[in-house]
Amino acid sequence: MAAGDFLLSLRTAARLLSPSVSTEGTRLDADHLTGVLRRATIWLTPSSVDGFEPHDLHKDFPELSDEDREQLIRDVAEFRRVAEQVPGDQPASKDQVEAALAPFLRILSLMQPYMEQFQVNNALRRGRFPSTVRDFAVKVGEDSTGEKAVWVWVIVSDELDDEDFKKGIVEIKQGVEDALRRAGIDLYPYVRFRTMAEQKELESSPVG
Amino acid sequence: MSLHNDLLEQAFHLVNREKRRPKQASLRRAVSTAYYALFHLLVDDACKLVLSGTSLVDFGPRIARAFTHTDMKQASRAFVFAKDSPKVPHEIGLILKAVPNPSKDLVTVAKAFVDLQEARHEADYNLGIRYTPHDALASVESAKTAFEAWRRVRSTPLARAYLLSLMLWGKWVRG
Repeated sequence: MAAGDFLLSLRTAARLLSPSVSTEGTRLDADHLTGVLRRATIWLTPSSVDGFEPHDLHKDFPELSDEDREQLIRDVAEFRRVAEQVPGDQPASKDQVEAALAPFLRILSLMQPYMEQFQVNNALRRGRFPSTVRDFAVKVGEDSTGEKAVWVWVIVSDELDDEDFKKGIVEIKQGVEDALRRAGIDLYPYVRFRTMAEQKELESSPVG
Repeated sequence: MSLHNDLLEQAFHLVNREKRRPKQASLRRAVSTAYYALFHLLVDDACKLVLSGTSLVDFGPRIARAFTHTDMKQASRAFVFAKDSPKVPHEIGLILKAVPNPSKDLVTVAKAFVDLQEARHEADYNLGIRYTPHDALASVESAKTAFEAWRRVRSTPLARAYLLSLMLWGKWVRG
C-alpha cells in the first residue's frame, strides 16, 4: 500500500532524527524539530519520502484539501530534488539542509495525523481481540472539549448476534486500550462499532 | 421510577424501535438518551450527597442545574487516568494519591461518562456521520453497564469524592 509505505518512510526518517523527536504522539514541536533537523542531516535522503504516490492522494488522504494536496506534491518534489543532490558518502551541506528543511517540515506537519493513525492501526493489528473482530477504522482528531483523541471503529463479523455482541463490548474496548497502551500511544480512545455489512453499506451510501 | 431509569429504558426502546431499517433519528436519540440517563443518575446521587428530606425536594432541581457537562467530563477523565497532573485540581490530586487504584467499577462509570458525552455530542450535532444499529446499541449497553457498576460502588468514599468532583470541578479548576 503506497500510503502505508510513504508514512512508514516518514516515520523512519523522523525516528532517525533523534529519540527526543517523536512524530508518534502529540509532540511535533516545530521549533524543536527545526533545531534537530538542522543538527542532524540523516533525514535528507530520497528514501524519507519513498512510497509517495501523487496520483493516489485523493484516495489515501481524503481529508486533505485540494490546496494541501497540491502543496504536498510540490514539497515532496522539492525535497526529492534536493535530497538527490546530496552525495551518498558525504553529509548534506548547510545550503542543502536549508533548502530541504521547509518542505520536509510542511510534509511532516500535513502527514502528522496520518502517521498517528497509521501507528494506531499498527498497534491494533498487534492487539489481542476476539475472532469476531475483523477490521478497524481509525481517525485522530480533537474531541468536543478540544482534547486530542482517537476514534476507533471496530468492525465485527456479520454473524455475531446481538447477545454475543453485547457480551463482547467490554472485552473489545479493553483490547483497544491495552493495544494503545502497549504501543505507548497517549490518546484517549473513543471506541465505536460496526458490522462488516454496516461498514459496506456506509461506504456505498451517502451520509444522512 | 426515577428519571435516569426511565431514560435508560427509553434508550433501549429507541435502539430497538425499528429492527429492519432503523431511522437515524431513533439511533441518534438512543445514544443521546443513554448519555442523559447516566448524567441524571450521577447528578441525582450528587444532590443526595449534599441534601436530604425536604431540602432535597426544595433545592435539588436548583443544585442539579449547577452541573456543567464539560466540567463533569474533565472530572471523569481525571478518575479514568487516576493520576495527578497539572490539570487535576489539588483536592482531587490528594484523593487520587491516597487511593492510587480507583476500583474497576468507578473507572467503568467514569469512562462511560466520557465516552457517552462525546457520543452524545456526535449524535446531536455531527450530521456528517451515519449511525449504525451496533454503534447505538454499544452506547446504550455502555450506559447500562455503568448503571450496574455504579450500584456496586456508589457508597464508597472514592465514589463520593467522584460525585463531589463532578459538582465542584469547575470551582476547583478556576478557583
